Amino acid sequence: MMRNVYIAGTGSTTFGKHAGRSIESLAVDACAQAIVESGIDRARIGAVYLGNFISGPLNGKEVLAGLVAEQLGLHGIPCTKVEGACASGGIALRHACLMVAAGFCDAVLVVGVETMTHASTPEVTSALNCAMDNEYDGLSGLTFPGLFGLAWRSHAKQYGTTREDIAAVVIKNKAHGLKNPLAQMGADLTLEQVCASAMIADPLQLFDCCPPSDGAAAVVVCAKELLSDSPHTPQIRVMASVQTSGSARISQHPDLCSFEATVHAAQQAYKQSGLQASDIDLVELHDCFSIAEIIDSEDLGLVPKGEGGRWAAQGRTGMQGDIVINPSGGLLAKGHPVGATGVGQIVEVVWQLRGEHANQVAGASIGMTHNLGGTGVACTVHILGRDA
Amino acid sequence: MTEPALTVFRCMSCQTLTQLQPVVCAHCLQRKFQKEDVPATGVLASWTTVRKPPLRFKAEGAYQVAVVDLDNGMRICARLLSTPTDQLGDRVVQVTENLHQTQTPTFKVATHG
Repeated sequence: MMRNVYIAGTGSTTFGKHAGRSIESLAVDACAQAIVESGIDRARIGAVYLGNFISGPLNGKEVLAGLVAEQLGLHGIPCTKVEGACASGGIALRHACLMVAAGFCDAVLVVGVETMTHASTPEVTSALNCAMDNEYDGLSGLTFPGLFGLAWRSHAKQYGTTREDIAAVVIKNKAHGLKNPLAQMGADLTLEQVCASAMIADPLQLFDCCPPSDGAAAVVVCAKELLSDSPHTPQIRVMASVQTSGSARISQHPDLCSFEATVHAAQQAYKQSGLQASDIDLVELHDCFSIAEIIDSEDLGLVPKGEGGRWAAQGRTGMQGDIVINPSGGLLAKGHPVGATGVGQIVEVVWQLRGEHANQVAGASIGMTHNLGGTGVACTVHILGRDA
Repeated sequence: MTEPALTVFRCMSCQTLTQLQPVVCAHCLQRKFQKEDVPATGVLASWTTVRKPPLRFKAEGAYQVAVVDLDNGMRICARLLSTPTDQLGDRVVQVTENLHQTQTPTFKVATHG
């Protein structure tokens, strides 16, 4: 019999530029906030999972989980860095949930962290390309913006999605970012400004791309009996925690504008939670590029297949919409410190469900997160809810 | 003039085709493959222009990457010598004039629509 898992504490740095800060210091900062907020004695924390993607190539640092734990006074417990490209943070959370659910630990510290802004664009592009199958697709010179340029053209041909539809995602998320104090680059943008930005991977333009970011986010997950130490109500329960994989090779994707890993993760998450898509009040999903939000919203079953662009253009994914997508500003505006993103999404949803968010979704009681790595090679979906 | 051909790998156990030689066949885990030439013609599934290349392609500047559905049913990643009128669904054929690229086949549109 698996135990229920709760999110007891949250912490986050701002996402953006943290010049001169070490990657460990950002992680420690977020973790200390989460531990203190949880009210849980550190002696009860049985493990640390740290999500990070490219601390090796960009910082020359590894064994981050142990380095961070030591600076938090956590000694002798298993400390594990997990890596799944942009899904590293979501995977870290999933492993923590498994440990608590199975009864191996009563509380687990989860942190995601990345620093990127000190590196040049070609260095960052090369480091991110570690998430490609470089003995296969990577030989062609394909990049991640390129992958989503391919997806855009495919979605446009299959469903008639336009530049204006996709710009609506950018304009919405940048506006949400303006209301989020953690966000790197909220903005009040016009269609003309989006369309005038530099071409990156046709038809993808600069404002269609998330920025490189520094940042860290952390949560403490625990079993129900430890919640008595936590001052926060309502209590936030993990109703589904799912991880899937898909092909690292774009040539193995039968549909260029769908990720099977997301489709399967969503199906499993609905089954695990006993919920359906219409029960979800808000979602923080993986909008690494504007077109990705449209694809993800369809793959998650939140928007009918092929309608993602039109729903965005009609405001049906905005704050007053049928389904609120990325009230944080998403990766496009909040920023994408790669390994931190999946945990940052959880922090955002917890604050929404507590009713404490700076860009609050009215009456939010069920929230979803979606974290996608590489070419859809790794995916996590979590559903959180207020405990009745 | 001979038709352009692309060399792929066929698993001698289960007949599965792969673009590059794997260590083992992901379908049956056997290890014997034979090279096979297949027609280097197909349909343009999608394409993009990469304008921010990673370090190892930086010297090339901008270049086109495509997904091509070969006539034998295989889907591959390739380079594309594009023109402004290229459309998804166009017929494409492999060419040998892309001197920058030796690791990936290069195609161009043969006929539109």
